[in-house]
Amino acid sequence: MTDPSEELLATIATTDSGIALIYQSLDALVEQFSLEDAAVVLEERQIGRQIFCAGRRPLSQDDDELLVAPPGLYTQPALEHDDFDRSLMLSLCVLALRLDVVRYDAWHDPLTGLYDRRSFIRLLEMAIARSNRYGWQFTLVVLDLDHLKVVNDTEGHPAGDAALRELGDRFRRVLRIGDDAARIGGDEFAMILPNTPPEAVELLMERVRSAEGFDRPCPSFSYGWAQIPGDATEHEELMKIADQRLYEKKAGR
Amino acid sequence: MNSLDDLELELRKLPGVKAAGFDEREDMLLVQLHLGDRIDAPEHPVPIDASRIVARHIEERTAVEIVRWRSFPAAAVAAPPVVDVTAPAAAAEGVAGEVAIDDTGSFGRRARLLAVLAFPDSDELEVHLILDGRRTIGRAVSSSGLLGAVEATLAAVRELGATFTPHALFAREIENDADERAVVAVALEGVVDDAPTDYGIAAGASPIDAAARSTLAALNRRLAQVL
Repeated sequence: MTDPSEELLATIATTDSGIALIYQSLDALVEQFSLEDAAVVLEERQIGRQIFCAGRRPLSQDDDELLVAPPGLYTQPALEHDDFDRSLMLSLCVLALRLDVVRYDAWHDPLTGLYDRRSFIRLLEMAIARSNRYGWQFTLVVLDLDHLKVVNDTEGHPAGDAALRELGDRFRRVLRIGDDAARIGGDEFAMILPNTPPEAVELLMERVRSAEGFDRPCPSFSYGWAQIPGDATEHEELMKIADQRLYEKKAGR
Repeated sequence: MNSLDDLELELRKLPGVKAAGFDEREDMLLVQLHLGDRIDAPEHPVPIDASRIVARHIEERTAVEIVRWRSFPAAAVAAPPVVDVTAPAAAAEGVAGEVAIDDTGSFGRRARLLAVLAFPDSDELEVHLILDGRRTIGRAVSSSGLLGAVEATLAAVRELGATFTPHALFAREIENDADERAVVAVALEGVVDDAPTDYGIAAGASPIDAAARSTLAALNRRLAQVL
């Protein structure tokens, strides 16, 4: 019989998802030892105590003990196999979750929670490759928060950060499934909008400006766009064209 | 990572989230989150943020269920029946006395509030309740403010089987409590025939959350009579 901890150890370094690995391990445990249920309570440094149940199932009213349980592996019925290293499995589950959190942080901008520049370029390259291969259309939007320096100088950096965060929140609220947004520089944002003709971009930007649920008016921003197919076949050229249109708009004001 | 893994990680990163679970049903995906006993930041209420995150990741119909825990002194909580524990001894010392119970602190048969969700885009407000494991959703117009939350809560209780048709005499925000939570008072007429006005008061993460909780506080006292 294979020890689930050994399987977890073998795959942890190569997996893309620690969360998936935790569930796989719990499910393997249930299957191999013919258990009714298994759950693990983990303590992760950044996101705190986390409960995972086999099968990714929601907690039920019968799970009250898990709510107050210390970190550990919990099974129903009790696991009585001495050859199974439960401490190792617990440690590896924490490591798997930690890797997910670190990976997430590595690809996201900590201020806005949007993708960062590196992730965005990777997404843009993938979108271009798909477009070149299948002819899929998308529009790239590059966007600048106006007057960030003035806000920082007159109201302080916390006010500037708040404006950046709010713009990120507005994008998250308005963008559709499949759209991607990123903060790619100090006051620069970018979006990939699949199946969106350039004429529809202004409509989307208007929805960003008029999104409800915010205490103050939308921070002022300017944008430029470029589309594929049509404008370029490489991401550097596409970004350059969108940037040019952005600066033309700013200069025309 | 697949979309569900990404979604789960993003949800677990929301402040206070301790567990996430998913239940595929015939016509929708139920996403359940368990939150610790903490106050949501006013500009980032967890139910709203969670709904938005789910909407970005999942195209099919979804429902987001938020279960909040309350903290009590450890001595007041019975020791949990331990099934099988593998835990470092040091970790066990830090266990907080938390237990999922209803908002009034009572263990009686009471409907419990799971979530109050506002959807400004569609001008809709949803109140999610649970009683004896049965979940219901009541809906009302979001732009009605506090009264919308009261109406949605009444609708959710009706879904549980209540045949009453009470109406709100008033729903007023009184003040913020020491934790900066909104406090709302509600007066209901007609919960039970020939009964005096029923009042409820409760604090919540937002005014509509508090309005739903105070409505529930008033109704829970009459639950045996109306169900």
